[in-house]
Amino acid sequence: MVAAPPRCAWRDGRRRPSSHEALHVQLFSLLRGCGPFAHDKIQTMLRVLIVAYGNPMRCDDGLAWRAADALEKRFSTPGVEILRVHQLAPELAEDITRCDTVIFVDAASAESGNGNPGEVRCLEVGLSEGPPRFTHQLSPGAVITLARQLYGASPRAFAVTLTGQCFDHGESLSPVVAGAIPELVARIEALVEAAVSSESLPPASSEA
Amino acid sequence: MKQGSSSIVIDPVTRIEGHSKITLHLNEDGRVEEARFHVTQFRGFEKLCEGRPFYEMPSLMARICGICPVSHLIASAKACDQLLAVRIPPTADKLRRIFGLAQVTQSHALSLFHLSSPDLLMGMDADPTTSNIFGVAEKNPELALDGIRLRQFGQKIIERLGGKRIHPAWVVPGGVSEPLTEANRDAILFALPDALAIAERTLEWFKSVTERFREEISVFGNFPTLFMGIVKKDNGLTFYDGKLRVVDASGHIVAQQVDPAEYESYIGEKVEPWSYLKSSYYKPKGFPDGIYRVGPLARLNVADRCGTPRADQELAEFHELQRTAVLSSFHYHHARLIEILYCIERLEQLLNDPEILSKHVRAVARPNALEGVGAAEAPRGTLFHHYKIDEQGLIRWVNLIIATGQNNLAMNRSVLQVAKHYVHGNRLTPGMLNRVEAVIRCYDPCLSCSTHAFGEMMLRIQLMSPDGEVLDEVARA
Repeated sequence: MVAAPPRCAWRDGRRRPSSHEALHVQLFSLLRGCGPFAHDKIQTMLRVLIVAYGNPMRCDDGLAWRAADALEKRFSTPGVEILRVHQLAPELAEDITRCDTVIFVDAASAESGNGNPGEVRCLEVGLSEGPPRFTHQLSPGAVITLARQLYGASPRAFAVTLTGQCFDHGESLSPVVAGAIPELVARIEALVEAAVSSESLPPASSEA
Repeated sequence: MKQGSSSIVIDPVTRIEGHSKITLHLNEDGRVEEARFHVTQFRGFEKLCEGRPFYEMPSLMARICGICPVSHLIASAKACDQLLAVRIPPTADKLRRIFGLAQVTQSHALSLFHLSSPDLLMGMDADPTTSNIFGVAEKNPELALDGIRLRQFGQKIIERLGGKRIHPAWVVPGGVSEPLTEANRDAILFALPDALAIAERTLEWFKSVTERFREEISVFGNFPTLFMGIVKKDNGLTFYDGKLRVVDASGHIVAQQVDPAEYESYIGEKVEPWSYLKSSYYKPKGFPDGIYRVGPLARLNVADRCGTPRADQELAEFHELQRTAVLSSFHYHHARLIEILYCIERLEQLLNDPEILSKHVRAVARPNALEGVGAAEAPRGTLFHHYKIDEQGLIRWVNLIIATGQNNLAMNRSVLQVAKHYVHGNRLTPGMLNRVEAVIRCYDPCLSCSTHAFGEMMLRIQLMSPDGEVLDEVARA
């Protein structure tokens, strides 16, 4: 026997929201400047959000997801959350309003002049200077800029990258990248621990 | 933009899903004679699947696209249902519908708010460096926020049902893998009013700005074609299941109550040497007279009703735009917004269904048929998955017919119409380039789906002289 479902509270000809329900919708929206689903998150104002992005079906492009797996149970504090996404989309701007520090983790390409395969780099991310070309696939700086523009949020942001070697179809990492995952994880951990303990964050280069 | 003596190239086309190139060919008088929309990606998913167990197909097919994996999941699972020869539980049917409606909502929101709203808000002559979501955020922050919230609304439903926003594997042959929980049902219902309010005010905003685009409406794919879509038994709008209906430019019914499994009798595909994207046509009328359109504009042209109160009001107003079928592809945007409204209303109906929390959500069987066709309405139009298996249940043959391929002839003709109207001489202007891109965006093409390709989507336009010389070339790099 299935329990009778509640009616949705909206629109003419149907049950109108009670003042209590309406207040909740407005309150959640006002608090975060976003939709009612935000009540999922309202309980957890984060210190650190880790955004691991890439395609785990393209070999080294999925290295951030591997790092996320390794980091998953390392933080005892509830103020740290890990998101796994394929690419940075505009919706992420709302997610990062919930945190003091956001760490973007990605694979870098040696062909684009981002170091040698296996090299870990950490950059502090500033506001994006130029317009993005594709608006469903943004850079970390563009996400930060959008969060500032739309929500007035200005978390400190870092981009931690590991330069990949193979971006072909497949789910395995190249040996040089697999061997560098512990270093990548350690760099992220250091950033998280400093952010959580409100210590001065480890030095990082600035994003151009 | 490259300079030359007699041809124009735009590369890449921005704010679409995939990588493409446009060439415009001039005649001896320097007027545009031919336009070609080239899709330069290739992937070949149909071949990749051969030899795989059929039950892997929904998950494999979902990998075709990061924007509309749910549509591929649903069409694929429906094809697999036929291989099992089962009737899926009623609750599974409804849950799949909810999943599909959420997908349409988030995909339409992406298309309208993130990709096309810069054109609508700032105009077609706006500086391309500001004509993007950042420009929208600066000029109309509420619109930008609404876009983010509406897309999140759809994505969150997908996440709640499927476990993740992209590439969820919740839809399986025979139904779905998990029932809907009461908590998830209530959370989605709680979010509906906000989504509905966004849809309503965006529709009003859209109607308030369309007057500025009279010229574009008149030349953005404004020509007679057939229109095709899946409709319910009562010829109402549906995204999940029904029969094919085809109407002509006058709005007269050309075919109806056609079983999608018979698609091969109605849809032909032509391969052009200059593109990996096949061109579909309505077989009884031949190529190229059988040019037809699918997607939001076509669905609202073939449907007599939506079946939800607010969407029905808007559909009646939409049908009044033209006494015949609504022809201009500019109205894809309008149709998209009405469909969002429908999706939200329909979600409420389904979520309040007394059976929606039932735990019986999957029928289990071994393969009982060697061939299956699954069809559904994806955000961009009708989607067909057709599989043949052997006695061991291994895939032997796959055919996928994707919405963007079905719109290929119309997209090419639309580019030609826009180029003829706006391009004069052997140079491209930013305003012309913006409009060529904008007319393609009306169709919201997903080239990753249509060629089953991956990678960044970019556009190049080439202006070609009669002797094949490149006169001008634009590349948004």
